[in-house]
Amino acid sequence: MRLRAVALGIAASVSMSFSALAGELTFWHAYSGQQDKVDFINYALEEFGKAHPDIKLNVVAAEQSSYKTKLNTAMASGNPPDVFYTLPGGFLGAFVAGNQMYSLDDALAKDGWGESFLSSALAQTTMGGHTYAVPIDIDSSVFWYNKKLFAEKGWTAPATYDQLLELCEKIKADGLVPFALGNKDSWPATFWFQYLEMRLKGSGIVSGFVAGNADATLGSEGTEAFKRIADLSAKGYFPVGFNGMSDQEANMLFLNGQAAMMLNGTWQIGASADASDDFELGFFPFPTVAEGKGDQSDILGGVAAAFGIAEKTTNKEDAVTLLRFLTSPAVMTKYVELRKTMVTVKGATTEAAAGPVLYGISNDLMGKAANLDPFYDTAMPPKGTDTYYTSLQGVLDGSVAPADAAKRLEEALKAK
Amino acid sequence: MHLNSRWSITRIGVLAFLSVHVLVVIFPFVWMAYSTLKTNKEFMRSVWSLPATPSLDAFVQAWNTGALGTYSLNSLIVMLGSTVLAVVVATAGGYALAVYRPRWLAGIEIGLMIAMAIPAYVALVPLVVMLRAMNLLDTHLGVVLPTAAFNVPVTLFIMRAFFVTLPRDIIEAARIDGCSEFAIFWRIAVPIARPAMFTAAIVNMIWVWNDFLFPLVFINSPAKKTLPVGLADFVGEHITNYPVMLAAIFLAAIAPLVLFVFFERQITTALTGGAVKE
Amino acid sequence: MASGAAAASSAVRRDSRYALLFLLPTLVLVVGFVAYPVVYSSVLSFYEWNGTATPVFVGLDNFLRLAGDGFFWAALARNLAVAASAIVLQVLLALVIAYCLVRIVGRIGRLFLFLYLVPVIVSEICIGLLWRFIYNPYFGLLNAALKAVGLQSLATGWLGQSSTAFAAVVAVMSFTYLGLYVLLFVAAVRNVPDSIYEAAALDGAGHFRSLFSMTIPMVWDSVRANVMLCIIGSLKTFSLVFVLTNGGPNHASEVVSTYLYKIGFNAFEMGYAATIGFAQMFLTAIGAWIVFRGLRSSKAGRGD
Repeated sequence: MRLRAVALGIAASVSMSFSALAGELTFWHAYSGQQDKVDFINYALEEFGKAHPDIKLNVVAAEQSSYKTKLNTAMASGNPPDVFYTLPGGFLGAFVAGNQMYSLDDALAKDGWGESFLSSALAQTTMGGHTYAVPIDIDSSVFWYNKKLFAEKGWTAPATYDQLLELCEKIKADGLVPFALGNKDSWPATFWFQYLEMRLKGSGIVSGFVAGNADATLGSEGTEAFKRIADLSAKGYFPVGFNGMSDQEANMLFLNGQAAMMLNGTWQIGASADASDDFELGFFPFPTVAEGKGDQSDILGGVAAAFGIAEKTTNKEDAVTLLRFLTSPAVMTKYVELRKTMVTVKGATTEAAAGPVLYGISNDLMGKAANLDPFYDTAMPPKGTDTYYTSLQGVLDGSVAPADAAKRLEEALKAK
Repeated sequence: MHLNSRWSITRIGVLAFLSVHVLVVIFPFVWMAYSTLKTNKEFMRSVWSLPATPSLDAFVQAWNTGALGTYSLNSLIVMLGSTVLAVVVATAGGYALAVYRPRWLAGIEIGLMIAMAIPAYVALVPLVVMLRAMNLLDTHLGVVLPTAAFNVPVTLFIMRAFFVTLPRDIIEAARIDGCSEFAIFWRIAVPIARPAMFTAAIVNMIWVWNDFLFPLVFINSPAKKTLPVGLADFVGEHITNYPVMLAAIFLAAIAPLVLFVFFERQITTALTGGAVKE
Repeated sequence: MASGAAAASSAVRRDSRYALLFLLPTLVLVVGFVAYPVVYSSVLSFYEWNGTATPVFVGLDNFLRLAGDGFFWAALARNLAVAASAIVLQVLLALVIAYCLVRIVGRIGRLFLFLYLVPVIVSEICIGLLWRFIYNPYFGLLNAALKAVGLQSLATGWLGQSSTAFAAVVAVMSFTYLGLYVLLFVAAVRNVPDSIYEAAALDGAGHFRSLFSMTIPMVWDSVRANVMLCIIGSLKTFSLVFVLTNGGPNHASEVVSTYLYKIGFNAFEMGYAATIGFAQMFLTAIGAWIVFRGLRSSKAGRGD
């Protein structure tokens, strides 16, 4: 008997030394590669260390694209980190389908933690009625324009799609590029398709497919949206060779006044920091489309990143403590201040922290939008994303017909 | 060389052509070097211009942001470890493939040829499972072993290509003299094969020095990162500070280039087995 | 006669034993860290697996899909094109350059060698970024240079047009990897005895003939080794494509590795990715086999 107890004791201590010790967590994140991200995570982890000296974090950081390779390999090899950064939507969905994610329902129900988030944001990390990650920040896509250039040329921000097209002709006549676009990585052009689909047909299309609604369809509007994009490209409103330019190269065209406008996410604020001193960033919502059936005030915006806990984690209590700390109003307000990005925690995107441009978008555009439609490419299952990306690149360079692109995308969205 | 050949038309023509060609090859790096002296603002405004007021800020920031010294040291450890392992193992293997001829060797040869063609991504997930079981995740040895294993087949074929040129008479004569097979390998084959081994080593070193995937996935601790993985941290998702990134690349490239300048003679001599003349 | 047969059979046994001994380290390493993981993965090619959930057995579905996957076959053809271009633009050009450096340029050849090696040492991710700026249609140097010599009609968005993207990537590859082959050939060409060239010079052979009829046969082993390196490298090429075009636009510059990466790590189709890897492996091996046989010189034959 005693021998057995000793054996059990040894076994227990051995297994202890292999799994994470109480008070110890592995934490993987992608706040790397650009200064604002690094500044935020350094701040947050330092504060966490002060507030919870008893919890030791083993932190692993990698830049977004490397991070995905690392995390996917860790997941596939059955060795997920305890707490980690993830994308919402289809990316998270794959892990949920594999029962790798710890449901945060109980934790969120306690002390009003769940209520502190915008419900539209929580919805993007909730699957089958359970929440598997806490959303952190919200990116929204709007039109950005060069205020000084517009003032010099006497151009005004267009309110309707037809006005936008007229403006493009003027800009082109002046020898400038109407829209900066660097579509090498395929996501930049998705804003165009999605906004047109939202204006023409309405919000929630891809979410409908993801939820498995039988009547979900892109409709004839899908073809129409692709057709309009092909048309913009054929008219030369995008830069030469945009499918091979990176987002950052396109941004240089915009900041240097070679391109007048850019449809891009709110990270544009941070990306404009190194423009010349007289550059002033302006924004306007995607114009209304006259015959469109969607609510014309809708905004394309969704959760950019979230944090989740692995089901395998032995130390869930400390893991929840870490997430609660990271999503506390004080840390989230600091996030807004350092990154100039909206957050998912109510009231944290303050005017003082956000600055005028971001606060304007958050308050004037998003506050008044009838719907926020999350990014199609992250919302859809990862399998569909490649079809979406390549079809769009093909439509833009004329190698794929709009109707074929719509058909391909619809099939990809319907495939389980 | 006599005088008229020193400035012959051929030589001038060749020099002119090579100069233009090498300029194209090297220009990106010249540009990289002077761009490090700019601010990001200046870089964004005009990519190609010379710095208006040269500043070393980018170097300071690059040095402070990433532990470039540590990364270089880690890269060196991984590079030397897997190069030595791969070359030693492949020399023995290449010798076997060239000198002996049992029937089953053809099967091994085909197997190695397939192994040579394996894309590393396919093996990634099972390798992580294995390395974890062996307690080698997040260690340099855990990078060295699979890296060397993936480079062994190609290295082995380089060595075999050398050993098949070894005159068989030498081996037969040694056998008649009563040399053991190991002695023949160690005392006769290996000394002659040194240039080939060195060639294989150079090729391995260059591959491993630039390898990104294995160290990215197998290493977690910041203090164990290799250079390519560390440098990837300078490229942002939406915002990259170009001068700082270029300064980091520049700093990372200095050490190997300086080493090459100092040891160029020795390197090319070793590659030729000491028979250098000019 | 009987004793001869006995000697032969003992030689065979000796060969078998020592071949195995000398190959043992190779087998341990390759079986342990290459073959085992790959066999493990190849099982996946019969499954549909998103990387986390339980794999679903789908029989030969992935292979049937592969057979009809135009993107894969086009990518594979591009890998072959990379290999073919690399043999000319990297190996052959490097041989000519090495000959020039050793036989014609003389002392400052060392400077050239150093300069050619710079891109080899800088990581490919960085080289990709540098070249992106050269190809940029607005502030890139290539278009500016074309304009300067009056060829602005040729200026285009090099990496962004389906018609030019792949060629633009291949050009960068040829500049990037050239240095390694120059280094290896410089060593080989220096190793050719001077007497050979002197004899050639007495015969009145020019550099052209001296290179092709004297040097190349003398350095044939290096040529063969370098061709093999370059084929293997070309078939596995990933980083430069990934950074320069990400395989786009619309798969126009996709190679097998980038396609495999997208399928496995972006689309989470680990099963199908394994199938692609499987196919790449076998097709590459067959290709390498054929090239090897073709390049085997009479001197290098097994002599039996």
